[in-house]
Amino acid sequence: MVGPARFDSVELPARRIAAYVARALRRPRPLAVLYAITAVPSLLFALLLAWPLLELSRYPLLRQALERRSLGDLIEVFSRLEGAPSAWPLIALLGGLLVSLLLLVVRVYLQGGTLLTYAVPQPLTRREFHAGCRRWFGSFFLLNLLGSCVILLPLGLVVVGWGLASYGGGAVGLLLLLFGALIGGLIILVIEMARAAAVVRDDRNVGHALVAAGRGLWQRPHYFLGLAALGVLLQVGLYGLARLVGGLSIPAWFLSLILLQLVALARLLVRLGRWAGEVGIYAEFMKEEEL
Amino acid sequence: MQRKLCLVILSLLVLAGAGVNPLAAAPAPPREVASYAMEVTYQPEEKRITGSATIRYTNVTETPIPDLVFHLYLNAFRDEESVFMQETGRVHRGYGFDPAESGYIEVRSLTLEDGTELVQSFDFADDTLMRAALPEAVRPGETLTVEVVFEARLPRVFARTGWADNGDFVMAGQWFPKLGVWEGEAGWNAYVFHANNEFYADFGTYEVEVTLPEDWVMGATGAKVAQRSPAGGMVTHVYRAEHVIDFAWSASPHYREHREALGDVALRILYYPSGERLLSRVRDATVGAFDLYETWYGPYGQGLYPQLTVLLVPADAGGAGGMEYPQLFTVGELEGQMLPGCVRLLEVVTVHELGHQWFQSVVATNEVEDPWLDEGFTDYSTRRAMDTLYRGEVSGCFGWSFTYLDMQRMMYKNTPHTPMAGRAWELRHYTVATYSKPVVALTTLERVVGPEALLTFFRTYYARYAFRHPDTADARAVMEETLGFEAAGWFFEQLVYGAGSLDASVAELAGTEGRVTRSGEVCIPSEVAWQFRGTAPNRADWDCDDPELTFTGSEPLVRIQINPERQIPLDLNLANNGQLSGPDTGVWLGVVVRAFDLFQSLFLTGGGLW
Repeated sequence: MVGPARFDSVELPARRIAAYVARALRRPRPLAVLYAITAVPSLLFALLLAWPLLELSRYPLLRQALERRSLGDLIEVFSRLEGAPSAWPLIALLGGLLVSLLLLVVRVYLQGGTLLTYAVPQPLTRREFHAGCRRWFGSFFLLNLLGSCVILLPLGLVVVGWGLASYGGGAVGLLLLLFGALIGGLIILVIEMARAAAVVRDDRNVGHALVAAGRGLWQRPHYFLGLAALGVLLQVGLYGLARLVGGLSIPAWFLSLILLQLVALARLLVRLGRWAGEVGIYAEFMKEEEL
Repeated sequence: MQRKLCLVILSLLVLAGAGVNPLAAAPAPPREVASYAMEVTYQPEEKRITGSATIRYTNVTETPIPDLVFHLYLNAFRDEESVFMQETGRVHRGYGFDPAESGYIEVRSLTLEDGTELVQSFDFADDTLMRAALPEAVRPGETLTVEVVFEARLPRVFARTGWADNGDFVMAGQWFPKLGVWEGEAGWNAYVFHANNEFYADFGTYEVEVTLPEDWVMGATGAKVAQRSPAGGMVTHVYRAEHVIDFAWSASPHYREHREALGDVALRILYYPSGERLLSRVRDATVGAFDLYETWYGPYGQGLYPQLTVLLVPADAGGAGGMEYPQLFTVGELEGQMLPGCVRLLEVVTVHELGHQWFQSVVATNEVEDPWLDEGFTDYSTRRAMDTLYRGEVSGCFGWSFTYLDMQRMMYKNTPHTPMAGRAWELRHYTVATYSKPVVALTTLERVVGPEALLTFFRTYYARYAFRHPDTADARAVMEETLGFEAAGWFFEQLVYGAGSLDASVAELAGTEGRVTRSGEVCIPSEVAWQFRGTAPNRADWDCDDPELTFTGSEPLVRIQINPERQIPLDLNLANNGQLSGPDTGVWLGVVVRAFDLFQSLFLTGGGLW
C-alpha cells in the first residue's frame, strides 16, 4: 500500500487523463454488462406494460391520443373500452420498482470490477473482473449507502426549491433548487472519487478513500470538477436528444428504438468515461508521487 | 315615390353587400326600470352596512303593480334554517358556512315619497323574500319612488359575499334590498334564495355612495365619479353605473391596483400583494378574451360601459372568487397559488367570468328559470376562448394536453341524461345541465353548422336582446332564424329540452363486412368513412333515417370511422367510433419503445452513486 497521494505538486496534461477516459470505450466489458442488465429487464417490463394495448390499438383513437399527446383521448380510450387494461400496468410499474432496487445492488457489485478494468495497464480477464467485483463490493456498498444518506438533505432542497419555483417562489425557489443540485452533485462526485482512489491505492478502508477524495477535490479541484462538468454537459445534451427522439411520430418505432438505445449507450458511456477519468487522475498522480 | 322605393332597395343592397344584415334587429335602447340611489356606511369591525336606498321603479307592463317584492339575499346566511342552507348542507362550492359568523339584512323602514310607511310581510316561507303591500297600485307607465332604510351584516365569506382576512377584506354582493322583476300578468318573478339559483333583476341606474375607512381601496360596478372625505378618518366613494342589473363592490386596505385602457374601456384590476405574481396571468387572460368576445359577439356593454373591474381576491376569501357582476368580476387566487403554472384553471375562471359581461350583464336572462342560457353560453365562450388563447388547455403538464372540452365531456358523460332547460333548483344535475352539457352540445352544433355560422347566431342574439331578458324560447327563435329550423330543431328538442344521449359505434368489422349503429335517444346527422383493402377511402353522410349502415365488398374491410373530423363531441364514447381490421402494430411497437426507454431511465436513476 502506498501513502496518500498529494496533488499539489504536479500538473497532469489532459492527454494522460484522456487516455484513461478512452478505456471506457476500448475496454467495453463494463459497458456491455451494464447495458445488458438494464436493457433486458427494461424490455421485459415494457412488453408487460404494453401487452394489453395491442388489442386496444385496433381503435384509431389510441393512435390519435398518442400522436396528439391528448390526455383526454387517452382517458377516453382506457375508461370506456371493454377489455381495457386492468392490473397489468400496475404490476409492470411495481415490478419495475422492485427490479430497480435489485439492480442497485447488482450495479454496486459491478463497480469494483469496472474501476479495476480502467485502473490496470492491461485488460482484465473475466475471472479477474469478477474477482475485482467481489473484492470491492463490501466497501463500495458502504460508501454508496453513506452517500445516499448524506444526499438526502440536498435532495430535499431540490424538491423544496422545485416546489417553490413551480408555485411562484420565483428566484428563491430557483436558487434553492440550484444550490441543492450543486451540493448533491458534489456528494456524488466525492463518492465516485473515493471509489476511484480506493481502487488505485488498493485500499478498502472507506475512511481513507473519503480522505483521498476530499484531498483531491481540495488540492486539484479543476481536474475533477472539469471532468464532472463535461460529463454533466454531455448528459444534458443526451437528455435533450432523447426528448427530441420522443417527439418522433409513434409509428416510427424502429427509428426511435435505434436512436433511443444509442442515447442509452451514450449515457452509460459518459458515466463510465467519467469514472475512468477519475481513476486515471488518481493513477497518474500516484505515478508522479512514486517518481 | 318610385324613386324613393328604388333608393331604399339600393341602400338595402349596398348594406347587404357590405356584410351588414339590413334585416337584423338594431340593438334596443336600454330601458331603465329599477334605479337605485344609495348612501351607505361600512364598519369593518362589525362587518355592518347601514344606510338607505331610494328606489325608482317604473311599471313597463300593462298590469298594475299591487305590491313590492324585495330580495333579501343576505338572510340566507342568518342561520342554518334557510332554504339555501338546507339545500347546500352549509357548504357552497367547497367552502363552509361558519354559524358564528353569520349574516343578515333587515329593512328598518320602507316609505313612499309622501311618507307612507309600508308594512313588511314575510309570507314566502323564507326570509330571503319580503313583500310590502302598496296603498295604491302602480299603474302602467307610472314610476314609484320608495325609500328604504336598511342594515346588513355580512357573513364570513363562503358563498360569494362577505368578509375575510380578519375583516380586512369585504366583498359585497346581493347586499341591499333588491326588487324582483314585475312581469305583468305573471306577477313578480322572484323566488326564495335556493342553493343553485343565481339572480334576476331589471336594468337601471345605480348611484351609490359607500363610506369606508380612509385607507381602504374600493372597486365596484361602474365608474367612480367623486370622492369626499367626511370627518372621522372615513372616505366616501361615489360610483355611478347606468344600464345595469346589479351593483357589487369590494374593498380592502391591502388592495393594489393595475390600470390600463382596453380601447375606450378603463380596465382596473385590484389584487392583494399575495396575488402579485398572478396578476400578469389574470391580466393577459382578461385582455385576450376581451378582444375575442368583442370580435365574436359585439362591443362590451354595447359601447355603454366605460369601466371593467377585476378583483383577484385573496385565498382567505376564496368563496368570493369566480363570480360575475355588471362591469365587475372576481377571480380567486387559490386557483393560481395551489396549482403549477402548467394548469390554467386561473385563466379558465377569468375568461369565463369575463364572458358573463356579455351573457348576463347585457343579455340579462333569468338565472333562476333559465340558468343554462347565461352559464351555458358563457361556458361555451370559455371553451372557444381557451382554444384560441391557450390551445384549449386546462392542463399542459409534462407535454400532455387536457383541454377544457375534455374536462366538460368527462363531466357530461358521468350524467348525460339531463335536460339543459329547467329551473335552477329543479335540475338534478345542475352543473352538468348548465355548464358541461351546454359546452359539449354547443361545440357539437358548432362543428355541424360551422364556427362562423354559430357566431352569427350569437351576434344576432346579443344584438337583439342587449339590455333585455330573453328566455329559452327567444334563443330558439334566433337560432331558427340564423341556423335554420333543422339545426335549431335537433338542438333544442333533443338537447335543450331532452334528456337523451347518443352513442354511435362500429358494431361489426370482420372480413369483407362492416356495420355501424346508433344507440340512445339523440340523433345528429353524421358522416362515416370506410376503406377496403387496395381501394381509396370512401365517405358518406349518415342521416337520422337510418339507425344503422352496413358495408360489404369483395375485398377485406380495413377500417371504419364514424365522424372522422370528430364532429360530434356529444357522442358518449368516441373510442368506439372507429375500428381497424386488426391491431395497429406500428402504434403498439411505438408504445413499447417508449416504455422501454422509460424503464431504462428508471433503472439508471441514482447517477454515479449506484
